[in-house]
Amino acid sequence: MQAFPALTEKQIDDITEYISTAPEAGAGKTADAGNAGAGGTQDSGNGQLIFGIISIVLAIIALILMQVNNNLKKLSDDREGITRPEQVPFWRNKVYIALIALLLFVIGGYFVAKGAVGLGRQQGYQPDQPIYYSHKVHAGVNQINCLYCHGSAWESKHAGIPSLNVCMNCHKAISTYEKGPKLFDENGTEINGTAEIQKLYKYANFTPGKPWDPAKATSPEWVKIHNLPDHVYFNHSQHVNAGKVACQTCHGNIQDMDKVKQVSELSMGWCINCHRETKVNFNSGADSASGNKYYSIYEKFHNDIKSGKMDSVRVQDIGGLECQKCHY
Amino acid sequence: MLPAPGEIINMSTNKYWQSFAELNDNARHQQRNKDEFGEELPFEEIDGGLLDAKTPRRDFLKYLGFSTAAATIAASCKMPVRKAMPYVNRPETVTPGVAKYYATTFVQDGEVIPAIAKVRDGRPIKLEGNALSSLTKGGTSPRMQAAVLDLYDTFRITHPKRRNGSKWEEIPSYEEFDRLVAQAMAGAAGKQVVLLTSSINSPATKQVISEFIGKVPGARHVQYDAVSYSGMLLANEASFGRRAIPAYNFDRAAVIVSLGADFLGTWLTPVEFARQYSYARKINEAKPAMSKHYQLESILSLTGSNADERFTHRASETGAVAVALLNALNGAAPAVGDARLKAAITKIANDLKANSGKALVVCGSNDPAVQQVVNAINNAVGAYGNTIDWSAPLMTHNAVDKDIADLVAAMNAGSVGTLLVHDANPAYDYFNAKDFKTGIAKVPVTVSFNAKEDETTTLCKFVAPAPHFLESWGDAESRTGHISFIQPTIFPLFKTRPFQTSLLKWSGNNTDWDTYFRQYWAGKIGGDLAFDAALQDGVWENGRSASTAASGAGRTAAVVTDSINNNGTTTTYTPATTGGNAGSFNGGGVSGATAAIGASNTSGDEVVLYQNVMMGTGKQGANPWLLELPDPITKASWDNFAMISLSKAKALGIELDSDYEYYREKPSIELTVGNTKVTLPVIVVPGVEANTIGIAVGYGRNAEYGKAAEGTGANVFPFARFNGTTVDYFNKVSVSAKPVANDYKVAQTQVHNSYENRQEVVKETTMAMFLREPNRYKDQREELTKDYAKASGDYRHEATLYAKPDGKGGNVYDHGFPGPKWGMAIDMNSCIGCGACVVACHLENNVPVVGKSEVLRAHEMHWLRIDRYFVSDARNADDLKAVVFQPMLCQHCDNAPCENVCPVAATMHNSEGVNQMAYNRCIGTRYCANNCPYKVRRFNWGDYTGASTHGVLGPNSGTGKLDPVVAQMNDDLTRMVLNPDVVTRSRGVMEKCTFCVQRTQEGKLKAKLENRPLKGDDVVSACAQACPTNAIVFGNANDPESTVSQWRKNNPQRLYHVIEQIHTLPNVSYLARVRNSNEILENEENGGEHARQNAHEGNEVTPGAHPAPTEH
Repeated sequence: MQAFPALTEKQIDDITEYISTAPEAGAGKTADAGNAGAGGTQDSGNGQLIFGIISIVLAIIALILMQVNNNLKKLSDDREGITRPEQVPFWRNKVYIALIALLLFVIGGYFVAKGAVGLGRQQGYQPDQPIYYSHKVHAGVNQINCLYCHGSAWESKHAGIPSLNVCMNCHKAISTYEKGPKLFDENGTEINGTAEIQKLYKYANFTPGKPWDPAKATSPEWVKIHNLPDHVYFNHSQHVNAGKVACQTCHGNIQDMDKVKQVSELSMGWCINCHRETKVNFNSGADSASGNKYYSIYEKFHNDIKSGKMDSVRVQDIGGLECQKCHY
Repeated sequence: MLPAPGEIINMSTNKYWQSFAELNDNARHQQRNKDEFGEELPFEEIDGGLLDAKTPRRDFLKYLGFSTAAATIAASCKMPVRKAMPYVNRPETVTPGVAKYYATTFVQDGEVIPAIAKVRDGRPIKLEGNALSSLTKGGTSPRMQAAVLDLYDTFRITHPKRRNGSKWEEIPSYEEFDRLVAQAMAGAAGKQVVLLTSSINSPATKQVISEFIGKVPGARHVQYDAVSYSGMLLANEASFGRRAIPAYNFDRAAVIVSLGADFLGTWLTPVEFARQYSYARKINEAKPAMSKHYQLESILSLTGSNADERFTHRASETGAVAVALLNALNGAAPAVGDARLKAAITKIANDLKANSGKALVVCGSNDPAVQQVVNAINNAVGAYGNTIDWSAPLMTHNAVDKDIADLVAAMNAGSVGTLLVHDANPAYDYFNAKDFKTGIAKVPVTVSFNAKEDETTTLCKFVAPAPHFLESWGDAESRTGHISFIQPTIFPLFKTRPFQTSLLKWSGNNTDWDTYFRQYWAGKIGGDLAFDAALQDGVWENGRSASTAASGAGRTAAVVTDSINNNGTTTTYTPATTGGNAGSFNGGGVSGATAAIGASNTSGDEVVLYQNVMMGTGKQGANPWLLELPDPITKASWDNFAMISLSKAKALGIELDSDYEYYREKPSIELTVGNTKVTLPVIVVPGVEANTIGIAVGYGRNAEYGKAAEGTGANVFPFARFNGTTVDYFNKVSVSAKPVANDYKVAQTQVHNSYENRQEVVKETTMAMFLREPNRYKDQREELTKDYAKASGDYRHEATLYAKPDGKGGNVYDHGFPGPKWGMAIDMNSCIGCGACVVACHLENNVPVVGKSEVLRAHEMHWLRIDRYFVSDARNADDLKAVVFQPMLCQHCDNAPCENVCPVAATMHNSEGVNQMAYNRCIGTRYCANNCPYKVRRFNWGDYTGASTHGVLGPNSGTGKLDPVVAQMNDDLTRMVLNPDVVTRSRGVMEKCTFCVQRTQEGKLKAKLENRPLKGDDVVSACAQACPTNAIVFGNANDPESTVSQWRKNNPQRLYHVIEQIHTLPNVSYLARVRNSNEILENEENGGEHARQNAHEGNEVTPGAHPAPTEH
């Protein structure tokens, strides 16, 4: 009966034990990533706070000690009858001015640089759209595949925004929003789903029950959320189709979003980090059946994997960090 | 006296040179080339302290503060909200971001080039050759490549209009237009109705025209070609009884003699001929053999510069030379005066006789008598039925000069009531444009269908602009039975209407052209489905779709199926297996023709009009890409000029020292022919007949034709001469040239780059030398290995400065190219220098047009240039033996000198062997360009693309005024031609060839999506695709099966890298050029900076040591 004769009873028990206690694979990953991210930020935030407080305390102590030292020196000078030049108040003391200027420069520089690096980045961008379209209702509750609407992500550089006829494929029949969860905007006001569908009908110039003529429709002006700079070449099909990257990797848990928000930073460092870590779907060893046959030309890597020099090939190994893979 | 074929000519000494300065004054030339700039730089003199300077320190600080503040304000603005509007109903076949390819056809002046249009998001952005055509086999020409820009020309006529006094008045609709024209035509009833077009080779249009002529009383059709071939048509009528031009098989010819025919550049259908010609000139190193090409001409043409042996004569002597050749074939001594020419004709005659049945003689003359003599020669050498085929004649040109002459006479006599003009511009390109203009004023109804307001359209009363060919349906039959289709790739941009629709309407047929065309072909081919299949292939040859013939290869993708295998022949190139139909030659008229050939001039100057590859007859005269493309011979862009000989230059007092080329100002001459006067700059070209002044036609347009064309050259069509039956494109009557005081700046690019006296740039040898020392180049390469890689014998790995320790005490030299490694191989034996690759690179990579003023400052941006080298006797520059063309682009060195010097690491190597350029990192030190030994990096001195910060600076900011053409190229309409996969570069950034990274990336992605290994030839670079002669191949050099690898492996005797000894390890390899001549070369002298056979030893050759130059 045993399907795995190589395993002992103990091992099988261990596996069962692991299965029953381990977290769910997909959820665990994202949750872990989320937790790690959040935790990391919090930790570093706490650390900064503590360091800041300690620095301020130390600076105050240093100041007091300097004053004390100064006073003691003044006292001793007085006692010894040494006449000293008149005391310069600390706001006119060049040493203090220089120190404060330096401090301001460093702090100011830090924020300017940080601001400059962040220019053009829109992490967290969550604009209003002409129609309150809920990805949660469509992709989450109704389990519509992302590629049903964003089909060109499979074959083109653009993920594409679905044309109105794709919306109307379903919405010619679905004209009311009744069964789904209640929708709220960020102020807590309830959104009337049926009214939003009516907005679509207005754009589509559609009257329920009558045939639809696409020639009379107009297109809504959706607000583009994920913007890359013009000098970046990004190809969805490379990632989604060839690389088998899940949409959520970059776009976050889109199936839980009523109103879409830019989750990732979309910065070069963010891209590069992923290219450093992601393993390529190489057709060797364990992946030989599922791997992409394109990589069969990488003879050296296949040999290295066979001989154990390399355990896996990452995007960076096949040139994923090179400038002209994205900038040309 | 020339030796017989096979006999070896004495040793001679050749020199390779690019400019007279280099030839005559090399020391000074090198000194001057040390400066980066050929002009005075506007540095400020600072004498009296910084505060007194024009920009003192305080101003500097003010500007600094202002710009910081401005940048802060600009940067703190909110991110713009970007909107995205999807399709309402997305067409099934359109995926945003994915290019579609549609077969179509470029037709101009009779030449037919089947093409594939790349359409990205609804816009055609690139044309490539259609490899399914059995004639052009995927070849292209510069004009065909540039044609897509004409679609987005801002100077196109946007709506129908009519003359109202001195102004144009828009006609709101075509119904109204039809009504007005019908009314006007009724007013002129009783008089002739003439449809004037260029040669029509569209079967469907021919039928429309015949319907029109049948329906409209008094209507007739006159065909007129700007450069006519009526001499050939009439001669063939006399010799064969057919007013037609046969097809030529250059691939079947062992000996090719051209009497002034520029068959590689502009004669009849040059792309087809270039493909055939290059096939017979690819060398199989195991069994070296190639065709022999003699050229006899008066100017230096593109074809002449590719000839193995070349002789010059006066243009008026062409007939005498042809007669002499005919007589020599019959054993008589040639009756020409010049001893050298006489010897040449005897030699050629012997060679032709020895290769009877494998010989071909072509002639560029438009004199029927001369062509009749040439027919007799071809008959004598057995060309008919072997190298000339009457079974499927060329349909490209049918116009006879007498027709237009008669028409002009009739117009002036007032007997023409209506003149309809389509694709013809006699007011500009007719030799007697003056009479045409007075005649057209006497025609009551004149309608132009031309797309732009050319010289003739300006004179017309009604204009119904025709759409661009990328917006319209059509067909072309370049040889009987070889149909190529034109299909629209974009909805018409303007309110245009095909002229066929107008003709149909006016002949009472209410079908529009689109429907008519479809019905016509569906009927011929057998149903809509069959027609759609033929349309998809683009070509329909001899009654079948090309894909059934070519097993479906390249059906949609623009892939060159034509590649070269190990024996040096093209895999899919099959030369004509039979010579075809010989026709029935009737030599009866030859003696009469011989007698009719006029006496040639023996003194005085002669003017020769020629077409260059960029302009042709000037149909694309305002196309900025073509205007900026340097002429292959003179490397001059943006102008036409008088091409003169060295002795003429001497007579005019022009010193050919380094000053001549260092300064852009060229001396000008005033040329008077009859009553016509033209002032033109002169350019001295070696190998031009002493008394000949050659001038290109196609320049000197009116202002309405396009801003770019303004002020570019002069129109010299009026210099052509009517000889009673045909138009001669030379003039020997009362030509006088006198120097004038005002110099004129000519933008010549050849001296813009210098190899700093480094050698072994060009390797060229003769067949005799190659047979004698086949391993000469190979030995030189092995010598390098001995010097630099003694230990391992591995030059590539050992001779590097960048050895990495391998952790075991040894070194690793491998840079590591684990996946694909891109490489290019260029066969210099095949490169004819046409420049199609340069234009293809232009549009593929969004290379900006900079305008003449910037080219003059050596700021041209071409990523790929074709260097031209003259090969002449060391002491006699006029004894031109050959011209070598070398495509030069970024060599993608694996040891790149540019990479080490970049302070910001903006240029670096990648794991695919490509030298990359990160534009956004570049801070513009230009150190890389200085350190590049090949001088292939280009710096954006101005904001040529409007890509600079925030776009507020605009194309005219910063570096002074740029030419208006830069603004024209940045017009919203013109910018639609940009390739969306390639960024435009801003001012202050270095750029260069990327090995078409967008294509290599696309090719890799395609393989991944199809889950298959990358094949070696999967990716074709734009230049390789464009090449009509298959001189450039591109592919994965790590794949031993790729064509690049095969070329390198199978041609060890000719393989080399440019200046290999400096160990840059380029990824571009060249195959040395072999000229089919018996000349034995001594050392190529170390005079030119480019080539010397044993540069490695570095032995200097003193001029005195040479034997006297060979007497020919």
